[in-house]
Amino acid sequence: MIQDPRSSTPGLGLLMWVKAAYGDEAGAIWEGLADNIVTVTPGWSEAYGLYLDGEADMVLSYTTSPAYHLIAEDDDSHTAAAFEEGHYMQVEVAGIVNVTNEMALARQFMAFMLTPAFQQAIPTTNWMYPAALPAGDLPDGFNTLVTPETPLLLPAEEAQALRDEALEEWRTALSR
Amino acid sequence: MAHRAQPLGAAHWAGAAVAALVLVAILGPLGAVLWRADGVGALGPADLAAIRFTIWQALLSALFSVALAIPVARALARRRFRGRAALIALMGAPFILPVIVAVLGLVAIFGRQGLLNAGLAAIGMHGIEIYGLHGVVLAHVFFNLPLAVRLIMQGWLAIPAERFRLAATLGFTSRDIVRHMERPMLRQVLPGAFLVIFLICTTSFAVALILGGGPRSTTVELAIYQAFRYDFDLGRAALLGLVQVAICVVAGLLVLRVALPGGMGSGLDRPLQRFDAQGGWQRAGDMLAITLAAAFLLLPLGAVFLRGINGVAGLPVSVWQAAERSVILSLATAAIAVALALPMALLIARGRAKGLLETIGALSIAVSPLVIGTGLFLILRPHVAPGNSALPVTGLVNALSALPFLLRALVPAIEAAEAGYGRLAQSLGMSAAQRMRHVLLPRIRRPLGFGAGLAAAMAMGDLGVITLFATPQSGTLPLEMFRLMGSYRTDDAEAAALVLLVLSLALFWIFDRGGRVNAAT
Repeated sequence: MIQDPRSSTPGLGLLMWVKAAYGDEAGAIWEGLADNIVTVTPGWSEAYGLYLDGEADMVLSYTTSPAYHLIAEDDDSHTAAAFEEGHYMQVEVAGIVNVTNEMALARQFMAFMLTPAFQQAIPTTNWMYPAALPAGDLPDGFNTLVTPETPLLLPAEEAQALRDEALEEWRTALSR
Repeated sequence: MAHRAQPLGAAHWAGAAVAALVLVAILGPLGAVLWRADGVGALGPADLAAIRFTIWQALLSALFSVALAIPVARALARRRFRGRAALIALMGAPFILPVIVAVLGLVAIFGRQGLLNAGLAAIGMHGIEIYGLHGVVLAHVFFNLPLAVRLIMQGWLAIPAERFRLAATLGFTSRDIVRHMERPMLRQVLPGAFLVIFLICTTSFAVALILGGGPRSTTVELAIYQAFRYDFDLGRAALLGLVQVAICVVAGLLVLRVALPGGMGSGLDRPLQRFDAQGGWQRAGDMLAITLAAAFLLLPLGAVFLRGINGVAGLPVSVWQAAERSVILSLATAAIAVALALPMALLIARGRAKGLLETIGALSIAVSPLVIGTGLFLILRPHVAPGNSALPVTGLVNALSALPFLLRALVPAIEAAEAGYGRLAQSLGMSAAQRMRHVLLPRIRRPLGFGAGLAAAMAMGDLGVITLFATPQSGTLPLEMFRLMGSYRTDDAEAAALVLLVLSLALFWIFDRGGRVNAAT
């Protein structure tokens, strides 16, 4: 169960992941994957919901997803797969719009986001890794997660330049 | 409608003004998107494939919805049984559910781990696969069958009881009744029902993608989403929006050309009694149609119910606050929708520029809510904060979306009332107001209640425009549900979906019921 790269950022992440890991072979990889894909959803919520309903054995999600089930539901039956080719990173950001007329306030809030109190709330609310919290301060359960050996992340310009071609490869391979 | 009785005066102008307003409200945002674009560009091969797929799946979906609805509508119109009213109301629910809730309900029945496959496996048969074009059509039929049944049933119920009495006196067989009464009625009702369902399906996005199984099932709406969200390519989005308008206009003009005006005349509003169709086979056939439709529509809803029921008591307070906002939004939407639809329906029923007006009315479901939403966002942003305009804009857009359904339900009823009593009212010298109160309103109460209920329920389940405007403080119930789903809180999300389902149904039921006060049918 995967997400559509045209409407979902994890879906686009997978596209870049395959591209970063396999380069020019990406098209062939997608063709090989095509008949293993149950369906493609517009966003993460739909894919994860269908996965939890048993529609697919695997879903494209985060390595931190099992932490939710472990911590909030006491359920250790979900695990993330470790890929030796590396894992693509999903980075979520907060930003200030440069035409804002509340610049000082916005900066103050940004600074607040980096304080330990804020950072400590991230793991068990957003269920992702916080950007500025020592690894030892992560809640129990996070230590059981798969930690990727090789993080992959294409630079923004390169990803932008590759996108249309990668999208076309993906579309062609999956449209057969 | 050969005669042109005295106009209702001011109502005429009000109708034209509303039609103009609707046109501006739909094309204005499209124009705003176009205005901000740096040129329009051209359609690529992927776009053409998307257009082909969009039209093809919408055609199939509309054909199946309407064809399957005929036996169900006939059975419901001519049979009386305990719980009939409740069944009719419940069966309307799929139409008003947010897409994702309905899809999860469908998957619970037809999916890989669904009830149907479990049943097939138990008797040693091969399972079925829901993902593919047939899955898309199945889901669209699930959404739209209730609407088709209701629209067609209105047609059946509009045949005066006296016609059936006369038919019995003349010794009509069932076949004669089909030929002389039911087939002409269907010719009047079916094209309109087909058109609205076709148009709804042309703007499908999530259903087509999830159940279609991948990029083969790309619709125009997805291409628009991509243009907005990924490239912020307003020109492409506007161009694709124009493609949707073109599909709507062409389909509207083609389909409405096939439609016949009604010619059943009027009666004394006696309760309907069918002297034909009392045979055992016909009864059995009707019961089978009702049972199958009820099972198809209610089992997935049952799944939504069972999953949600345990979590309702523990729902966070934010869900209830969102629910309150949603109810207010729904009521306001219903009021706006009626205020827009009534004058327009009066004008259309008078036969002035009928095709044009109905097409304007239908535009609102053919043009992407994303285009309308983004256009309104661009227009309003310099003047009001998006968060403050979230609810008014959502109400307006949903009232516009409900307009075609209200028109479809209202126009035939007004035509029939005018044809039957217009001359009498005129010869009695009734004023426009008297005529409205004594002649029209009692006869259009049922479709008016139905349409208002539909508008309310649609606003309740909307997850389109609101996503562009809402802040957490102005989020509606479906938005809150989606937020819960996005943060793994599946149980809470399922409970919120149940609350949403119950509230939508309750609102629809109240309006629809209000429309049927004193009506024996």
